[in-house]
Amino acid sequence: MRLPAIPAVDDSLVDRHQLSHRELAAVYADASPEAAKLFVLQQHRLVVEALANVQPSIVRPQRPRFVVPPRAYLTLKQQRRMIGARAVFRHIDSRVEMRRCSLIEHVVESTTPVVLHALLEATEPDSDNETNPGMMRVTPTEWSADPFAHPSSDVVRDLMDEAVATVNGSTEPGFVRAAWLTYVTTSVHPFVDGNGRAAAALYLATVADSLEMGVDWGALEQWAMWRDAYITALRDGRETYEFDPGRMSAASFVDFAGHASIAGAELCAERLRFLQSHLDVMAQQGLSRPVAFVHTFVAMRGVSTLREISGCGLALSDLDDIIAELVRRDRLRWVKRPHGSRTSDSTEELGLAEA
Amino acid sequence: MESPLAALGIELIVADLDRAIELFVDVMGCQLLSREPSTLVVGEVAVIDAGSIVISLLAPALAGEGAVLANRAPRLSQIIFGGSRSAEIAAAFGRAASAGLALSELVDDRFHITPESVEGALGQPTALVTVPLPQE
Repeated sequence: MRLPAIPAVDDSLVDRHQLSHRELAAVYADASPEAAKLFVLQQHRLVVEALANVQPSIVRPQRPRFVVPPRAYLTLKQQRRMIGARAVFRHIDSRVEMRRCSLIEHVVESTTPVVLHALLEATEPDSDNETNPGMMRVTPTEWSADPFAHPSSDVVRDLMDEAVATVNGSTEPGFVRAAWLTYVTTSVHPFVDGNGRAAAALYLATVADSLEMGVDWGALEQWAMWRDAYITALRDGRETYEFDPGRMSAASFVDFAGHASIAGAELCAERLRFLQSHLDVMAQQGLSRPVAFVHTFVAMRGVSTLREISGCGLALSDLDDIIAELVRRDRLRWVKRPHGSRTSDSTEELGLAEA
Repeated sequence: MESPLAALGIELIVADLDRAIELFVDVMGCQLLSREPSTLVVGEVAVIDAGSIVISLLAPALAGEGAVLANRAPRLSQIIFGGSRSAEIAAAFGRAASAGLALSELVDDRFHITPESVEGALGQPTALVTVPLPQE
């Protein structure tokens, strides 16, 4: 045995996980195209922020947030990480679709960990740390604050190949296999840097195939909001100061990931219902569906640039008319964008906000 | 217009507590109010009376019983603000959340903006902590 075993999971957790995701898929199927689009746009942003390891707006929240403004005041490093995280999401999404079309056998294959890492790290070429995007480490690494020596660099490639083969050959539920692969990746630590982000991306890629929606839209947001619990769950599985599969267990992390996925799915369903009811109210106020969509999109972001709004898929000619109508009705107004919201690839001085 | 929040103090993470105390007390003439083991993380903390504000000096330890601070690099780790009214603190929380900063939940009129998100504005990881002022 060169890797910790995939742990057995309580049937009730598996059932609850299945139920919560079925419920989310049902709410999504019932939602209007506008509500579904607003939901996906927000969740995509939150997943990307989590994949980039950017802190969420509220850490350790006491009540659910249905609308979450985009994280602002990003450092240049975080802005670059977000670009890499978006590329990773696109890569996983494409592979999930290819798998659904039976064009590939598995979403995750042996090259996937290095591809995901390359995409995540490629935007940090002048970082202080030499991260070697897409290359497994050739030097020893260890955690010093919580002492743990990762396996020798000689074996990391074989261990990761074995881990991918294990998840693809296992019949355990998708979230169990995905969480196990995350646990193994963080423990093997195949890269000099970016292992946590790569492990989170592998979770998304592994679990996708088992979910009707193809994306675990809420899980990584929960990992980010409950970062302490995430770290504790990873630590709980190590009764050793060095990589020793016989003294390591992924059970705590799989349990954490299962509950996080359930909580995320339940929150996502609530968000969808909230967005739908909000759009219904706007329709009662006489706003057409596209107008209500743009108004809500802007309101959810606080301040939105034209480029951001046009990224929603509306035709530019329609968008001009919609914005003109919203400004004329005193629903939206042009404002100076806060400096904290401007980034290296979004420098616009003006944006639209609720009047 | 009067600011709704007032700066009460700062916290500095230091590598050498003896030298840091010497600087503030012997050189600058401030008063040492206390020096004791830290309750939140493993290490020692000294509190200095600096007139209108209080300076906390935290010297985190590498190991020991309790939580070990992961980032022990010397820095300005916190700026602490006080608000006299719940509504003012809640308003500051709302502004910070709307601005897209990462912050802790508002509980008992307390919250903090995380060092990670403040770094995006100040270039250094400093928490902005907001607490209620003690009632007279």
